[in-house]
Amino acid sequence: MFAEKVIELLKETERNPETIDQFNDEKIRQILEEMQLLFKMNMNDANATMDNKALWTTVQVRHSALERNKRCLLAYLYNRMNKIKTLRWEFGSVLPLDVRELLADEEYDWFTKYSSNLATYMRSLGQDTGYNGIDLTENLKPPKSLYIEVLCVLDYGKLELEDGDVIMLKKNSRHFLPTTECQTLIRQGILKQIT
Amino acid sequence: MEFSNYLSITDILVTNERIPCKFLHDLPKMGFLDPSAADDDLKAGTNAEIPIWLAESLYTRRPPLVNVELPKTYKDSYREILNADACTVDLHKLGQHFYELGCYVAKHDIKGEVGSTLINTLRQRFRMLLSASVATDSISAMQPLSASERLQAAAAARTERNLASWLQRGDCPLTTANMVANHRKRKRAEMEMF
Amino acid sequence: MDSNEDIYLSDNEEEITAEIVLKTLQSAWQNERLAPEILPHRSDMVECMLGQLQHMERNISKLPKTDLRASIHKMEISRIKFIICNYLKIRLNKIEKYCIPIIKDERQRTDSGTNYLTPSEYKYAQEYLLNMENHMKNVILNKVPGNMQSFDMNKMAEHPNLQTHVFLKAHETVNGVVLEDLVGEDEEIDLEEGSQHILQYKPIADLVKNGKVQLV
Repeated sequence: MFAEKVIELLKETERNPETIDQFNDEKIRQILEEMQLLFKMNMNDANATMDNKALWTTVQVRHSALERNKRCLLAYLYNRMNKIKTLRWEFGSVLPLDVRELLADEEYDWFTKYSSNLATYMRSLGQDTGYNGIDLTENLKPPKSLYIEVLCVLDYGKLELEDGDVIMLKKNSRHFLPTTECQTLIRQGILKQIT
Repeated sequence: MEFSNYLSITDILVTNERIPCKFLHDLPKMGFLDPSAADDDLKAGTNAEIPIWLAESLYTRRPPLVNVELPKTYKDSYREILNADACTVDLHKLGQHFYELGCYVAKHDIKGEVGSTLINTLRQRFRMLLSASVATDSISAMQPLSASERLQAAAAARTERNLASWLQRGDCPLTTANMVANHRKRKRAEMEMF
Repeated sequence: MDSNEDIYLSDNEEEITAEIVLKTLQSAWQNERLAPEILPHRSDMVECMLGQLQHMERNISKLPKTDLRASIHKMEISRIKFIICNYLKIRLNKIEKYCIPIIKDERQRTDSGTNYLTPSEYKYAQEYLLNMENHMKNVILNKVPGNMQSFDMNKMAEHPNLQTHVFLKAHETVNGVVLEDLVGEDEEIDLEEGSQHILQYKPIADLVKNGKVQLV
């Protein structure tokens, strides 16, 4: 049957909706090859339709299969683009190496462009009032208290607070910090709120 | 239909399901579409099950190349069961994408009975969905639900949980972002394998 | 928040209080959260509120660190910041998801001066779509057979589901709202001031945009 490889590719993606998998270079190459083959067969048969009119319908059927393959490949790519967007909002503009390795070079390119477009937009916010932009990836939840108690999960290093104090974030150390200054670190999995 | 856009993976998987068709014209070199035939060419009058996406594109040609028939899940006998008591049916087994597939099939049902069965089925099963979303034993309650029903019930359950925790403590602690946490979990699992 | 303090809206030279600005912003936020499609922007309110926040932050910095008033004001500031961020983020999400129809409609709206997006949002949307098109071309489209390499906007477009149902409250009495039935039989209803309803979004979309009803 037509377009079966590409379905395997999509089912693979569906299995892990919460993470992004390695870009499947090899399978995409195979699918593109299959498309070139179908296209070639169609070229040959299209030239032969003069003698055999019925071949024309065959050409149309193959063309549907080609369109189907194209649609599936684009859907695969688009689904990954949405995941890569989530990466930008959750990890920030710098991806950990092990996550970055899962993206194709072109995808990392797209990530960088997406990220810089977002940054340009965020910088434009509030310019008339003298704000130098607003980071929309912060303030994701309504604040409940000004200070919260947090546990440090990883060795992070120095953190300078707004009031000028500097604290050391070491693995397993506990801190009592202003909510606004640690929410990004919590989202990135460096701190954990103790409740 | 909200799911039926060009880039939707759900729609692509739904349209990958096979439905029975009757071919109205000869198709040279397309014999492989009918696994029971040994010929290279497909003859007019052949019956075969083909994916919806192909059936749709053949049906919309002028003149149509195929006649689309109802899959058995949407025929009289199943419709009778569904209309009598839809809650007893395990939609997960009957067809993961029962409603979505039904929307495609309904177009080819001149009497319009498939459409009303779909609505009737959802109406009857709505209470079941509700109870699945608040069930304590959620795994067995979710079992007989179709793919989209599962998504609905899971969303309802999530809302229910959030509301409960908000009512209890009036507080929602800050947490690690979803993808960050999942990637870290996966990395840990991979490391443990070695 | 100092609600007695008056601030200026530079556009129409009309004096409004910070309290009204916040209320308007909150209602715009709530509508944006609940409406399936993008709504006309309220950057006037956002800018106004940001100005107010900056003013508050300056005042706080004059207070000693331990002053209770400083803590209360800080809390208020982060609450308002949350609303602003969430509001703008929801708009961005819609802009990304529905970028093709939004850009198309916006082009016409800009001509008539009734644009829904702010200039930066519009720029963001165009850049986003351009990046998406280029990415798809680089990875897939340039490598498929010659006669099918096009990036087809009409096919690719994703549209918001305007048939979805919403909860709403009428700010004022609206007579003769026409609801379309599935079988094509129209029904007319009246919304009384203060009444609440569950209706399809499409027939009341304009009422949300002109502020006659509030989504809840």
